[in-house]
Amino acid sequence: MADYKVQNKMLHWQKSYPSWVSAIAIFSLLALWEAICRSGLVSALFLPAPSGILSSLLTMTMNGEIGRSLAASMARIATGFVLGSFIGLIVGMITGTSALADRIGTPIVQALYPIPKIALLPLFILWLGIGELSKITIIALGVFFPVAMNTYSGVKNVDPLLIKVAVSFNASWWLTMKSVVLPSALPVIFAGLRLAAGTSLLLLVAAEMIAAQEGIGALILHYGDLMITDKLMAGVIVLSVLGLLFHLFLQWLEKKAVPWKD
Amino acid sequence: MKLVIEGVSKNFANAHGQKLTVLEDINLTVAEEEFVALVGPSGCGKSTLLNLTAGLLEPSGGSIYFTEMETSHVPAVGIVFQETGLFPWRSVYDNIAFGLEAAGIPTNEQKERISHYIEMVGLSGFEKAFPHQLSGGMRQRVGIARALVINPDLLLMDEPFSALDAQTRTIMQEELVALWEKTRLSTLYVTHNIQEAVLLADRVVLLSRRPGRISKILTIDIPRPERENAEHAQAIDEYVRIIWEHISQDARAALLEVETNG
Repeated sequence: MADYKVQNKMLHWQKSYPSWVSAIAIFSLLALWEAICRSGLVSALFLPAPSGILSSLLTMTMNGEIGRSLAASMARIATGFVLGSFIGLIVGMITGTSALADRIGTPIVQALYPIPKIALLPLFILWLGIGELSKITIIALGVFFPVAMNTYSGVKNVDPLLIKVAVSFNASWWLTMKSVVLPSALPVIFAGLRLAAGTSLLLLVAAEMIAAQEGIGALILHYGDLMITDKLMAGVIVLSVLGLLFHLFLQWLEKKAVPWKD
Repeated sequence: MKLVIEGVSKNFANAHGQKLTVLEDINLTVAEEEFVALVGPSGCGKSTLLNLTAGLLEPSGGSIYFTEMETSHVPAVGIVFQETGLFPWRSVYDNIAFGLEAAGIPTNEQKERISHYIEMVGLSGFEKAFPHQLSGGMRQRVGIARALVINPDLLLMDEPFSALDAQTRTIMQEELVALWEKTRLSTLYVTHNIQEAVLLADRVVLLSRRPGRISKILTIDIPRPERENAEHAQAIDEYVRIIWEHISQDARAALLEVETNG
């Protein structure tokens, strides 16, 4: 005949921890890494200490090496990403809303999508030369597919009721696209852009490793050949920061573009 | 068995980090075979109180417990959710089976119990259907069967019919009365529909808003199965009028607040 007190069964799912827990975890991991390196357990050639990487990163930033590489890489990825996502958006919108374009375009997109894009780089170098154009093209191509496919599915899944509302007011095709179809598809389009961000970074580094004088990918390959691992790792850090900033930028953009979704 | 809610309060932090008192000093009991309806305007915390009772939220103060238990087992609570909360990927049968599965009841034992409740709520022939193939009323029947099949000691219903159209709602209310007379489960029922509360409950508990406090408790002195009869129409209307008089000011305030927020 004991009383039974109601317990919160959602406790585990509702729990939250302050953000400094993450910071402590990261610093502990770095400290452990540093300790392992200092103990001499592994050779500095194979695993440089965080402090060593940081000081290399600082010198390489001071002498302009990072700046030059980063500028070259940023120009490529920015151009390729904007170009690829713009074309992907247009193609996705058209194939998603026009039955004819759907019939013609979708099989082509689906057939080309599974090709690992980097396999086409030799062909692009042949066609477009070893310069910037082949690298930008390969990045744009890699970005095109996820954006086009997500835009397509976002547009396809617009609530038919909202289209009926627009049509009932005799809205033009353009107004319906601009004010109903596009906003409704935006969350899915952004998911595609985030996917594309990862792909573009991958293709950037791959392309730079195959054929480039300057750029973060070339820098990493160069120091790998020379077995200067702390400078190699400094390049990797720059890439990771670049990826993070890219992600934050898209997050910021999505907040601006999709204010009705929280 | 008796459910006791003793001095319960619940605070939330709003977006600006300010403390918001949703419930304050709630004292309420639900006796064996008693049907209690919680009524109040939006924002009065009636759903919060239900969630606290279900153990899905942690109270900020006070306690909720079961007392005068005949058996020593942990009391089972069946919940019927407002938006049904059916798993889209499970059939009607498998949705109802979920609670038994969670309780570790062998499949062959499940079968008889599930069929019994499928028949009771009038879902025979729909065992293999998926929720999206059913109408709103049918879906909520699945929700009710899912809650009843575990033989709960307490039934909690959170505006179970608010998503239904008026006709379906009336039918479902009548069915619930018949179903309840069969099972006579202690029930805590949340609704903003005064008529519904008066038709279903033994006692109607009125909550005021900001903070949510119990402002009045009415005992409905008409036998439940007879409440639809014409002879009681006047008495029912009188209850409804009293309740509306009591909460209309709060309801108007709630309406205004939603509008200014939106």
